[in-house]
Order: sequence, then C-alpha cells, then structure tokens
Amino acid sequence: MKRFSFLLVALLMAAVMATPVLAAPKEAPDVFDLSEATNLDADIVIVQALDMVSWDPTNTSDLSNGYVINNVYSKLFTFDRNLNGIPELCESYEMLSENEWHFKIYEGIKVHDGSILTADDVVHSLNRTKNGTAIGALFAPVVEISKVDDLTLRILTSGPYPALPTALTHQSTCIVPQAYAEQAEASGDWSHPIGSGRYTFTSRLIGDSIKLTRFDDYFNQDDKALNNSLTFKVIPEGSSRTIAVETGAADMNVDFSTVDYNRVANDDSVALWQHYSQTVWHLGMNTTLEWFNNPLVRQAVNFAVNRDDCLEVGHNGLGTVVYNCATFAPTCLGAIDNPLDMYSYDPERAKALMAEAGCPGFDTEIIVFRDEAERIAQVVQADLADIGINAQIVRIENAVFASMIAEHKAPMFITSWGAYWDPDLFLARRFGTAGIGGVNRGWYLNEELDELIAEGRASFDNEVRAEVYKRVQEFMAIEAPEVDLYVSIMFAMTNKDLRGVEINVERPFNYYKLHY
Amino acid sequence: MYKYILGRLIILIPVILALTFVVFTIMYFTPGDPTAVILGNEYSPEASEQLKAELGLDRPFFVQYVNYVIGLCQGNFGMSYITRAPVSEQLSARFPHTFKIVIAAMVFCVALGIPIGVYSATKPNSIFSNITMIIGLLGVSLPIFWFGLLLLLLFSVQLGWLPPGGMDHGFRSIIMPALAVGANYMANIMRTTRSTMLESVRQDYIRTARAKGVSRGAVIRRHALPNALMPTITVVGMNIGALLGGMVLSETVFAIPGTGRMLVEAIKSRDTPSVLGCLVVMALCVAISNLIVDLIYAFIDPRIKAQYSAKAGN
Repeated sequence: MKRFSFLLVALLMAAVMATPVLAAPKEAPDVFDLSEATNLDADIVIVQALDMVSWDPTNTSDLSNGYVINNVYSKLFTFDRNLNGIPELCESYEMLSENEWHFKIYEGIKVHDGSILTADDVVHSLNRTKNGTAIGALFAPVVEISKVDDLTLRILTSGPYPALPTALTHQSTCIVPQAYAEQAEASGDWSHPIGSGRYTFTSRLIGDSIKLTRFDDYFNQDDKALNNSLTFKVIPEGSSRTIAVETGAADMNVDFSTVDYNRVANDDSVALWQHYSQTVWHLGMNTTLEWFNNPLVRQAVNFAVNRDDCLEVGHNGLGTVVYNCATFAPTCLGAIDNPLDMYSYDPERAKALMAEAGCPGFDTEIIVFRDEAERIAQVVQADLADIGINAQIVRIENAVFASMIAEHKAPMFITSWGAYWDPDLFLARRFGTAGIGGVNRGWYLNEELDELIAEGRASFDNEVRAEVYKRVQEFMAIEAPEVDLYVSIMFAMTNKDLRGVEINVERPFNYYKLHY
Repeated sequence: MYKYILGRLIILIPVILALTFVVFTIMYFTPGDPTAVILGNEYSPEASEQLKAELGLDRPFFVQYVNYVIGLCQGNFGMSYITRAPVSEQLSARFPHTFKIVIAAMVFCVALGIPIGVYSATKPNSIFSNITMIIGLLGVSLPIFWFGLLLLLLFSVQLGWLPPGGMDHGFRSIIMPALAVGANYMANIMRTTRSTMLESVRQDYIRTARAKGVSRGAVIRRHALPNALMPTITVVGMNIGALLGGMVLSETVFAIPGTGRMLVEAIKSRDTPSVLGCLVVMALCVAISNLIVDLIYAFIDPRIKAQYSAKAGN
C-alpha cells in the first residue's frame, strides 16, 4: 500500500512538472513600425463564427456583420479601442448649440464606382438609418438630419446629446451612396455593395466566405489598407477555427474560443493577442417579481455569488471580476471598481440580508441561452442554494430570450452586455423607461435614476459627467438590480508573423492594418 | 414503368404540401421570433413591431401560409427574414456542397461496405471478419462531431494532408466530411450485407449449385449476392435521410456552407422561409432517392419489375 501511495505521489509530481508553463498572450500594440513590414500586399484570410447578414447597413446590428461591412462603407466617425467616435469621413464638426451639430465631410471622397460622395449621400444614408430599426435607441434623440451645403450636414437633437459622435460609429450609420441605395432598395438586391471604404466588394459565397479587394483610390491615402485583400471565412465551430490558423489556412481567428487557450498559448507556431474588453457578464433579476422587488434580497444575491468561481468556469479565469450593479466595465467613463466598497463574496452577510428582508427563501429560474452562461449558472445555482434560493437552470435559444423578458418569464438570467465607453449610450436603455420590455431586462424603473441619467447627458464636460456617473453607480449598488460578475478578455489568434493586429473592447478590428 | 414513376412523382405534391403545413405550423407556434435575433441589443417592443410589419409577420397565420404556398407553387421559396435575400438564392449556393458530400459519402460507403460485408460473410470466423465486425460496431457508435474533430486533428493538423475546412480545395475538401458523415452509414451497409449474405449462403440452392460443380466465387457472385443485396439496397435508400441529417454536424465541424448548417441556423433564428426551403429540398432528395432505390429493385429482381408494370397498367 505504501509503495502504491509513493508511486501515485511520484506520478502526480511528474505530471505537475511535465505540465508546460503557458506563454502569456501578447498585448495588441497601439502602434507598429511599418519599416519592418515585409509584405504590404498580402491576401489576408480571417475566420469568424458567423456569416454576415446583409450589405444593407440598416438591416441588422449584428457584430459579425458590422465588422465586415465597415470595410466597404465609410462612416462619419469610426471607433477607437474603447469604441469612442473618431472622425473618418468627417473633416470637422461643431456644435452650434446644445441641440444643433454641423458635420463637414472631406472634399473629393471617391466612391467605388468613380463618383464623388456628397452631403446629399450622407443625409440620405443617415435618414435611412434613422427610419430603420437597427440603430435602436442610439438615434432616439436625433430629430432631423439635413443638408447645409455640398459638404456639410446638420443634425438636430431633442436635447443635449454628447454621445452623438459615438452613436455615429454604429454600423447602421455606414454611408451608402444615394444612387446605389435607391437602386438596391427598388430591386431588393444588395448583393454587390458600393461604398467609399478601403475595400471594394469582390465576391460572396453565402455561408462560406466574403472577399474584398483594396480600393486604391480610398480618400485618405495616409491610412489606406496595408494588405491587398481580405477574405472572411465562416467557421462556426471554435476548435475548427483554431485549426484553420494552425494549419495556415487562415491568418487570423477573430472569434477565438478559450476552450483552446492552453493548447494555443503553448504553440510557438501561432500568436495569441489579448486586450481588455467592456463585455460585462452579469446576473439579472426581474425587479417586478416577488422578492426580487426587494432591494435587500437583491443585495443578498450580490453578496451570495462567488464571482471568481463564475469567471473560472465561464471563461477559464481569463478576465476581471467586477462588483458593479450598473453594467459599468472598469474602463467606462466614470467607472469605479466597487461602488461604496459595498460588495464581496460573503454568504453570511447574504443570509443576514435575507433574514432582514423577511425572506424565507423561494424557488426561481435562471434563464440562459449561451454555453458560458450555462456554466456560470451552475455556480450561481449552488451559491444561491446556500441562502435558501432554489434556482432551476433553464436553457433556451437566443430567439426566445426577448419574448421571455417581455412576458416576465425570466426571473433571473445570465447574459453579457458590450458596454460603450460612454455610459449614456447604455444606462437609459438598461435601467430606464427607454429599454422597458427591451434591453431593460430587469424591468427596473426609478425616477431618481432617470434624473441622474439626464444630468449625465446634460453636460459636455467629461469630468462633470464622470462625477455624475460615480453617483449613479453608488445609487445602483444600493438598489442592486443586477449582479455584474466579470469582464472577459478579448483574444485574437493569428499566424505568428502577422502584424498590425488591433483589438478593441468588443472584438479584433481595423483589419485593413493587417500585414506581414 | 414510366406511368409508375410519374405516379410516384405526383404523390410528391401532397407530401410536400403536408410537410410545409406541419413545419410552418410548428415554426409559427414555437416561442421566439426572428426580430429578437435581428435587433439583438437594440431590441425594443416598438422596433420589433415595426420589423414584424415590414416582414409580414403581423398577418394572420393562414394568410402567411397561403402566401407562402402560392409563392412555392411558382417556384418562389420566399425571402429570408434574417438576410432579406431570396431563399432560393441561398439554396442554390449551398445545396451543391451538401449534395457533393452526400454523393461522395454514398459512393465511398457502398464501394467499401458491400465488398467487406460479402467477404466477411464468406469467411465468417476469420480474423478479417472479426475485425470488420469491430469496425462496424465502432462506425455505428462514433459520434459524427467527435469523429470529425479527430479527423481534422490527424489529417489537417498533424499530417497536413487535407484542408481543415471549406470547399475551396475541390475533391480534397470533400474527403473528411464524407468520411465523418459516412462512418455510421458504411457500418450499417457492411453489417446488413454481412448478415443477409450469411443467410443467403446457407440456402439450399447455393448448396445445390456448389454440388453441381460451380465455383465458390461464381456461386457468390451470381446466386448469393443478388438475393442478399435487396435488404442492403433498402438500407442504402432508407439511410439517405439520416445522411442528410448527419450533414448538419459534418458541415459544422468542417465549415461547409451547405443546407444542413443553413437549416440549423434558420431554426435558431426562427427564419421560417429558410427552414421550409431547406426541408422541401431535403424531402425532395429523400423522396427521389427512394424512388431510385425502388427502380433499382426492379433492375435486380425481374419479379418486382413485372409488379410495377402490372400496377401501372391497372
């Protein structure tokens, strides 16, 4: 028996020693030196999980769609790593009053068909965006879009809207030349898009691939594409995407599955890049239902859940635990790590709060529709059982989630939210009247919060706004309408020699910079 | 004979109509709606209603269904709710890939499964026979998804012989998806051939033929095999539906842009026109392949051919 134990220990030690030390992923650099480039005419193949949906920008707000069409169309503003608006077609802009903005586009912007882009095209395109559904609440404050002169347009808003430049980065604000848009709308055929972006459309095989070729007449020659073409290949299965890069069939995997993390982090033949994200995984509660309408019970839930365990099972420990209750990622404007230093994993405190609320415990359901959420739900289920809340996990499909929310059939749910840097772009929708029945999934309404959100929107001074948002987070910590769990990390897996890799807070981006 | 074929084809019309009605009804009453998928984080009840009106989803059930059927009768599969492009356009882009792999899997499975089944039946207690039995058992039990990933790791990552996915490399792109989806199919053919051949070689007429001096090979080829093939052909025909079903998994692992994957994506996003389009095409495939199997019966067995002709004459 002793000998057997010794052998067992020896084997275990050998196994531990044999386990390779994982190489840390590289942080995607802010700048790169073009003088070291060896090939600026490469044909880059990118693999992603989902196919694009439509070349009509007003059709969808799907991420996979946006990161493809952004290459063919240009927008007034593109986004930086924090998803803040930075000018693209827009040469300059000014606010004539709190409600009136003027945007001037560059002169002589060439469209893929050889024509020149004018303010008429931009106005027509943005009016299509405004009348469509994909932009959602981001354009709700926009009252009127009109032309001032051939290069200038005016946007009137219903009140102060400091986040307008960021709202103008949304994919549905892609500028489609008026002539092409009218023709495509009349025929219903959007299959051969024409824009003023860095790439022209070459071909698409539905469900398989999209090929784009560099547009040499792109208006900003100092920032044109650093590769000859981009091909987007659709590979739904995570490990198959990893294998595509490992075998050289693709240059970049933009939907890296962390299931393959250990294998890839150890593989010298490929590179793994990372960047922090603003994707906040959270546990929501329907605040209109019995017990969840009591802030003390909601606080108890916040104390009861072990966020570290959630991160471990949800994303293999790759992310940052957060103790927020208002979907603020740590990098959002005015974000504070743990408002009022209120929360930690403290089951005893949770039990005390349940007792204080007079709650003897109850049965409920946790609704999930993604694999990560289902894994997290198992941790949450066990944690809640400790304080007398018996939660059953219910797995549904994405298409059903919205109707379950609308019909109050989701007492608890686990999902993620990609937060903008500017909280004004999500707060009112997530916790205000604007999102009721929609993305205010917890049905949380509070006039005091509405006033705070309006106060944050009223100023154009970010320091003032940050102070308001600090108060919002403190208010929400006490109200506790949701349990923010963690912020996951964004990864990009590439060929080891690929350069120009950039990742923003929601996805790898700026594919036009990829080169060897 | 031609009348028989025509009759079978005409029967397809009510079958397809019944299929569309059942599927349309299920999709209509299944919880969830495509606007939730389209709008994502921009979802709001107002936007959803606006979108439903644009897509015609606010109309009554029977209006929607009748409109669909009228379109279908004119060869129009409708517009996808998600991409807002014609479903027929997607089907014509995707179905050829599925068809190629299914045909390759069938050819591969029939070409290997029948000879192996015959050989192992003629040498029932040999090592070869036992090995084929084990292979057959493995083939039946291997999950397509897992087997597909193993093939990928071996032939693409380790050996680098085959492309990891997609349809860009011609025949080489087809090999692994066909193997993955066909493993189960081949095992079924092999096992059925073996068991029916075992039955066949024990018949009196086989013994008589051997007693008259006909060689063993000739007896198997001319007398035992044709009789043993009937159940095998039934298995080949009956399993085409299963093969098409297996394509859903094979296409996912190997990133094949076929109808199997399209069907799953359409079901998930409640894209009813796309679901119906895929199922109509698949149903037609199954029905036509079964018809072909029935015709092959007639060529193998003259008695069946005579029955078909008699039925058609009546």
